[in-house]
Amino acid sequence: MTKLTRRQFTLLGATALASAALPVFSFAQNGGKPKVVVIGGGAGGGTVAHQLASDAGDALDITLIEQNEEYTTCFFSNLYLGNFRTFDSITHNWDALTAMGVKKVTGKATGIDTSAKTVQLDDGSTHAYDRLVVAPGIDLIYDSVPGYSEADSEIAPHAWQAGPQTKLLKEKLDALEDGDQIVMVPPPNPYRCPPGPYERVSMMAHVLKEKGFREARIVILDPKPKFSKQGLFSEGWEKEYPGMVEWIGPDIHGGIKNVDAKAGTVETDFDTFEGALLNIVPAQKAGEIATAAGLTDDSGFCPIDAESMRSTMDENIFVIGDACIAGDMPKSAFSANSQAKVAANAIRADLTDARKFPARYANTCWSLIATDNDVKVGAQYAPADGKITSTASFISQTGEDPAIRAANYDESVAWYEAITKDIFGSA
Amino acid sequence: MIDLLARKALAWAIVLFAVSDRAFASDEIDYGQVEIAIAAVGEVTADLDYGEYLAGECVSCHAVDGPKQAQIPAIAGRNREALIRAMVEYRTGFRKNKVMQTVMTTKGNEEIAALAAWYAAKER
Repeated sequence: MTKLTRRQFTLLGATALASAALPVFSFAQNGGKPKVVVIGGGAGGGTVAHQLASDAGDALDITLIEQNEEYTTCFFSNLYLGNFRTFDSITHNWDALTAMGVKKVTGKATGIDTSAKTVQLDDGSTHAYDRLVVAPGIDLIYDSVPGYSEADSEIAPHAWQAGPQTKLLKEKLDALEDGDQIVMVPPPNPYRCPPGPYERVSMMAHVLKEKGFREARIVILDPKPKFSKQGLFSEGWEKEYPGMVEWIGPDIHGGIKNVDAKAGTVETDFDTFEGALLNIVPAQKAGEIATAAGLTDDSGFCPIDAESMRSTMDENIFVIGDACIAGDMPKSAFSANSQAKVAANAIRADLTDARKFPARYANTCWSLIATDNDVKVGAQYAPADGKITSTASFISQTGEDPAIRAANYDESVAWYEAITKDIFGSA
Repeated sequence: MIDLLARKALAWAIVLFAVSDRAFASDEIDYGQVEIAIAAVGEVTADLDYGEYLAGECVSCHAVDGPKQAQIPAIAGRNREALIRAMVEYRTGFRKNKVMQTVMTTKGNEEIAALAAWYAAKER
């Protein structure tokens, strides 16, 4: 057999791809450009729309369905709680994307007709697609925490979907007095932003410390026996906020028995904890539209093909971000942004003459423990054995040089500016 | 006058060194090996389409219009050889930054050549 050079192989690949892409002509026959509809304008959906508009805006008709007029990022919302960021600085809109030709439809997707290839909106309108990207983020399972409800979140905020809930938590945090106690109940796995609850505790402790409070306490009643960056956070809390933060795992508290938001109590097998502020973060599942469209499995999240982010339930649909089952990747904005690029590449290859490249993914999560004390974890991923698999990773070390921790923070600030431009087309 | 220029140059050198991960550079790596690795990348023909795809990962942190002296510098429009050198220095562990070292563990010569060519050709 003749050995092929890489270049010849690429040419053959391009020919094969051109054959596979024959349906392109049927789109043309239907009139107009192939249609891509994106549901959800966050880290995943925004990035897909931006990518397609940048690279294939002339070849594709791109519609972004999003229920909000502006978007407050969950990532860096803890830094707003800690007075490191303003609310405005973490709030964005899609104006730059619409200026690039993306049609933004403000509305809520309520159903997907996978045979007619249309999306239904709450206003009764329908939008036809050739390829659909579903990026609805998470929905909260309020009753996963005994006694807790959506109504209770107005008293005991979860603030796990950024916006009014974030502001409510901030108001309640700022109203605390010395001697008050915060009780936080983090969610069980899998959930959005694994280090998030513990960065949030750090930022709340930072605010209490800055006010000079000596008697204020934060108790974490965790349903999990261990958590992300545990060694780093434990070391950080002891160093920065000695005596203020107490983490209690399930082998001690024995499980959350009841949350009484009005009374401000969390009852466990071990004890009943009183808090002037309760921050309750329930279990999570894929955003409602994913479930309604039958894209989820028993886990409540959406299985995908690791090579393309294509739904295993429907070949015309891609699911990215917190709603999908991304193997070793955590649910994070960085992950969603990375998955969006693989999906955009696959969509361009489906609908235009663009080349499909091997799926490669990345994630980094920075967490701020205190001023100039920022830790990070990150990894590279590739498809293996049918799932997205970690191929290399790192984590910050305990006891490392403070200069590295300070540089990490500067790095995270630069990352935020870059990724929000990559999602929304501008900061 | 010369003395002033020399001092200015030194001051700039210190600033540029401090803002890059070369401030954390390793003194344990044999730079001769780094040079050999850089030369090997130079032998590879760059695939610009592949570079554009791979650059999707970079853009998540390196803003196209960001400042060059930020903790994460802008890299668009930079010299191709300098980009190759920086990427190889991370891959070999000469430059110390955990994110970049991890990113580069999965980048072979073909990927580095493609990225450097694409970024060098990209306007800021």
